Amino acid sequence: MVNYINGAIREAIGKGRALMIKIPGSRTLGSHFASLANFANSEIGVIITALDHLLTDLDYSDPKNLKSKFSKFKQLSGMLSKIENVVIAAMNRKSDDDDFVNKLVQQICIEINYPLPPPVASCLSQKYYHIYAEYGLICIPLLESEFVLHIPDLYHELGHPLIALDNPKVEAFQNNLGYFNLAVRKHFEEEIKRREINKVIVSKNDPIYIYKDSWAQKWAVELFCDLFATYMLGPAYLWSNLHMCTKMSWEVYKTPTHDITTHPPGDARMRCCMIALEEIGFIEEAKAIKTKWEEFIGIVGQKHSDEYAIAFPEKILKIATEFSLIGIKEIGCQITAQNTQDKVNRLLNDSWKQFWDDPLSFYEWERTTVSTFKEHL
Amino acid sequence: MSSIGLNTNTFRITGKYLDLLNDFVVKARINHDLEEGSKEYLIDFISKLKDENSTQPQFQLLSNMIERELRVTSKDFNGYLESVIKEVKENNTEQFLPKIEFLADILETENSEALLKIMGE
Repeated sequence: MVNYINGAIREAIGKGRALMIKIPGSRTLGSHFASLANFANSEIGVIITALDHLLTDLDYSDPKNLKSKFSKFKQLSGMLSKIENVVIAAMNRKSDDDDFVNKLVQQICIEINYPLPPPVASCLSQKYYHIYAEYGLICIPLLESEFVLHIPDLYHELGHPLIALDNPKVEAFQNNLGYFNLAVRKHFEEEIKRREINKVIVSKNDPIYIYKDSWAQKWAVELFCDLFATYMLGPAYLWSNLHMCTKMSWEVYKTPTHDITTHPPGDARMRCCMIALEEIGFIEEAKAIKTKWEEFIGIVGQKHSDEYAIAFPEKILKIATEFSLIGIKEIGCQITAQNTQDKVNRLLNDSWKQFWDDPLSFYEWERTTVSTFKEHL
Repeated sequence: MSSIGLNTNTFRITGKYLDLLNDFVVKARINHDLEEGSKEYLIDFISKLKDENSTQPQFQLLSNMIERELRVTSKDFNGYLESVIKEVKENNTEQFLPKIEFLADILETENSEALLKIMGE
């Protein structure tokens, strides 16, 4: 296997060089994707250098270290595959719609005083909205540039780089997430201690550990991104979240008992965002959203368990809103208000108002409005 | 409701520190006299992992991953990491090597799972 791994590394170096050739040149790249191409070139260069080093490094070449050599190869190989499947694919499949979504993302970033450069937007997503923070690439589904009701999810995705990137401009936001994580850990450790004192058996398979670990690894980040979206955009984000749950996720109280999950259930996210909405003065809007949310839950017949209340206590959700708001203020983002007149903010909030005023005519209204908006963006 | 944002973050952070651990263990396996610089670097990393007041989300994430795996094997998180620091300081390779390999395995698993989820989603 010594020869195998060396051969595999050499092939990966060749693949990296072939990927560089696949990066479109200036004439076909267009203005929006230039930063992505520069990133891809330099990142592939770094990976090739690391593979080269791995091939010749005497320590890694010692037979005792074969497992570590395989491990490092797997990781570098994965990085190359990600660039191939995500970055190169985005550049090679760019469409006319990308121009609009890039302008849209840039406009949002200006409106909210986003502290980082705006990510490049691509309409290639086959899996809803998502972002690759380290590449500065945000992906949205193909038809989303024609419709507005889910566009608020862009704001959630813009929250991820604020948490993921090593950049002093966003450190304050990350530290507030850190304070929140400490509060959550303390809460669950006290709960575990309380159960031990009361002789309620706590085994290492107890769901309480699943809640603690899910919060630490996944839920806190997702909730902070929800809160970022709420504070930046306001009611439209919550309406969009309700809309997503009606289409994709009816189990709004789903509480894991065996494996950690990535997102808090829909109801916990909505409750938390409603608290945040009230904090910034959208009291009536929060009430209206709550009414419709409860109506939806009644229609789909969901009921929460005792475990749900333990995993998502109101106290934790409230603390999340407080720390995220402090973090957002500290990095200087612009929090939305009733009188915010920014172009995209107005479009998205007005669209949801229009939807509820006259749902049956909304489709026609949306077509005209989106078309006019595109002309003036 | 994609988890790609989360998984790319996990892939990046676990990869960064998996590199650190791998670079350390390959030297430790073949050369018992480790450079002071690389020992200090490792000790600094382990100390950040066991700092229960850390407000850096990336270390909180890694700490939780390791704590969870140690819990499964009924090992005490603080005691385990403290012993690694002590043994590295004492150049006790026989004792610390399997422990650091165990930590590397945890990050390796998380790194691979994150990549699979990114590519498979």
